[in-house]
Amino acid sequence: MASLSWDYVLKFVIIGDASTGKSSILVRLTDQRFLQNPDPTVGVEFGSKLIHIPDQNKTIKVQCWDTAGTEAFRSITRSYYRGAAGALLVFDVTSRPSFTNARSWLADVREHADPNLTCVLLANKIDLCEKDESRRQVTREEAELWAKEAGLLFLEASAKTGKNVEEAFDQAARDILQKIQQGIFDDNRSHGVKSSNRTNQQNSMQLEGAEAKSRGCCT
Amino acid sequence: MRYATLEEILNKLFFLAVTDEDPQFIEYFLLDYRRFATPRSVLLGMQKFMISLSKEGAYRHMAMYAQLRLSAFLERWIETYPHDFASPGAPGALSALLRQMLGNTHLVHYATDLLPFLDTLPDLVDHDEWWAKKDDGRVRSSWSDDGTGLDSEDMAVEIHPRMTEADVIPSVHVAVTTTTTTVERTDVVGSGAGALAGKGVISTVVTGNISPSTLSMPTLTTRGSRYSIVGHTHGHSLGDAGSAGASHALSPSRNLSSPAVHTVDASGGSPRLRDREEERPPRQRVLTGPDAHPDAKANIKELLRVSQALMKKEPMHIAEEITRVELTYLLAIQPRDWLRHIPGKKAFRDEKDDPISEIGKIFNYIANWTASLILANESASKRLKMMEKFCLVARSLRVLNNYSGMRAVVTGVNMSRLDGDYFSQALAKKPFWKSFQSLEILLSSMRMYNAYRIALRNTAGPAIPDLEVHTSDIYRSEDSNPDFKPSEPHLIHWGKFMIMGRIICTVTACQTRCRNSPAYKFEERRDIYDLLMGVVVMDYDTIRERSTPPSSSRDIHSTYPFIPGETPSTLRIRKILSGLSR
Repeated sequence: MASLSWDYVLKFVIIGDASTGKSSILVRLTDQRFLQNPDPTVGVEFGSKLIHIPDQNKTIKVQCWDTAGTEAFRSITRSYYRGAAGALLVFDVTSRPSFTNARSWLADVREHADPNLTCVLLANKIDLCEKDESRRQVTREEAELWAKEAGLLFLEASAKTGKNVEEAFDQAARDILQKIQQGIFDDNRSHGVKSSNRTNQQNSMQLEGAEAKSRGCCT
Repeated sequence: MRYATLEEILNKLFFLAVTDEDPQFIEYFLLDYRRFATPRSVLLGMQKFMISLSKEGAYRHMAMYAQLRLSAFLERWIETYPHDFASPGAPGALSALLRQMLGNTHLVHYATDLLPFLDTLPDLVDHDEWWAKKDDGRVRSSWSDDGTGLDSEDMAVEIHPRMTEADVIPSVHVAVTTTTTTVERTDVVGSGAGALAGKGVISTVVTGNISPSTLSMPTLTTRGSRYSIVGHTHGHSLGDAGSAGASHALSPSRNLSSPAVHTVDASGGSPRLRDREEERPPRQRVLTGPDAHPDAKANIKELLRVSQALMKKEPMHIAEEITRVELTYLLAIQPRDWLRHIPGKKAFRDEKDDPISEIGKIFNYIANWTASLILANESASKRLKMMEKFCLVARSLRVLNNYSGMRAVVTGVNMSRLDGDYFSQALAKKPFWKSFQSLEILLSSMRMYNAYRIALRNTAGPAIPDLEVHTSDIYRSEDSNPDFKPSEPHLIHWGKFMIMGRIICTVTACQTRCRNSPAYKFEERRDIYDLLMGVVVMDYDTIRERSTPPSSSRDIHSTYPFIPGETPSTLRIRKILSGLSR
């Protein structure tokens, strides 16, 4: 059962070419909160979401950071990379260049991020191909093959319909959990992975009662 | 007002231009209207509004006052964004509007002030044409083509780049004699009411004939406008002391100082009108520093020399010099640069033309400079001393409210300890570290940089904002928020443009305070400047390589050199132990 407490906080970065739908994925993940309130200055933590993994009875708080727009401040952008446990590498299936450029994005994130970072290759805008297959410029097989070669998870998704968006984070979170259990990621000592503390667990008892009320804005 | 038609937005704009109830609305509109409207459509809307006021019978004096305020708004627009009027269709619409104003006695002085501006239009280049909305007819005010004969195609003369001024104003022959109109005290709604104090006197501003030949030789003065005419327009006495009352009464907006338009020049001189789109403060180019050739390699010995020299300087003096350097970059940013910088506008991505990229460059440089000077030292103890120095510099930058410089230095310190675990124990014992960590909390990205935003909001004096945050804000307000309502494309997403205006004006307000405040008039310290800008700093790879800690944490207080290439030991040991326990 989902709870407002969490076992781990995992930091993600969303990377990829402009116009591939990175922000839309974030919007979809966070249940449209971004669209409802387009003002980024109000102090709301955009891009955070609780994901429950029932078979492991773990609740993960995913914190996503969209680095779009801050490329000029490279020294900070790198710190976002460094602080990530997972990366969502997004390309647009109707744009061949965005797939080609995914290689350099991957090289960039591999250079600056934790070497154990879990990366998901996400082929976005699949809804456009379902309507008109001729718009597809990158086949599923090709993207899947490259993902396998590069050691990435792979999913085809649509931020518009919501298809596979949550699934992408779910898969990435499971992969990171596995790495934590194997000792590859060291919770609380590795960047991007934070486990819950005792205080949080205590708070969760109080928050259980308020769960139904609060779920509307967080899950 | 989240979604609105252009007509609704213009209605509100003109109303607020008259009442002056919400100056920010006007500022935001002028800043970003070109994303959803053309200058021509705004001018045509204004023209029709002016005509409708002329037809007003019962409240004629109110209508005249409103026209004056609108004329003042036009003057402000021209002064702030002159190149908007070089966009397609705008010269004709402006010409028509000015000719219409010339037909109204009480507006003649405004019109004659602005007429010479038409002469300059052929030389103006519309800097924003490539990102601005094209006139595709999707959003069109009903004023522009409602068949009332107001479309300036009928009235206006289109100006082509090579037209002479005689072509531009072919038929402006206004025979005007000195006239005096008395305006009785009128109740005026809104804050502009105070402007109509007692009786006002309208003096027409032109005596004699205005013709292209006379207008072609204006004597330009700065009687509040760059485009005023004297000589042929004697009797234009609104600026005279003797008629100050009249000036106040009937040119109310002449005294409306918008912070965005009226500024004090950087030298602390008197307020003046500033053409924001043309004036960028000169910036000293340096051969090294941020402008070093990309292939230039850092010289460790030189960095070490700089590091040792810097140790002898006062942290506050270093912070002041960093602030002085960053200030020139900050002041180079014009409000519309933010709109030029946003996604999809790649034509502006040449860093040399983009002051926001340039300030990013100096930010990265200061971060790398900080890390380089720490890492130039070979022993851990010396690195710790250098870290302490920079922590004190960061603290001084906080005192100066230079958030950008402070974040750059904090980032640099953290870059020099990429493996955060290594220095943690040693740093935890240092008294300066707690205050450094409080700066990190201040700059934390938690809740969308809430701590920083609160601090900035409560900063009264001059401040250099953390521009990475504001750049990110602009992108986030832009992303996923289309300019028009998808289901009703004639509706403009005005709520989004208000937010964008607010984000940009937060920075603009800081710029204004920086220009105006004596607190940021620092003494130039050439020796520190040379230490700051006169070196080639390490690139990121070198920083990463040198920040790798020694193989044993015992070296933290030793003077042994670091051994580059070793990997973090603590994590390795944990992994091994984790494997053994299974």
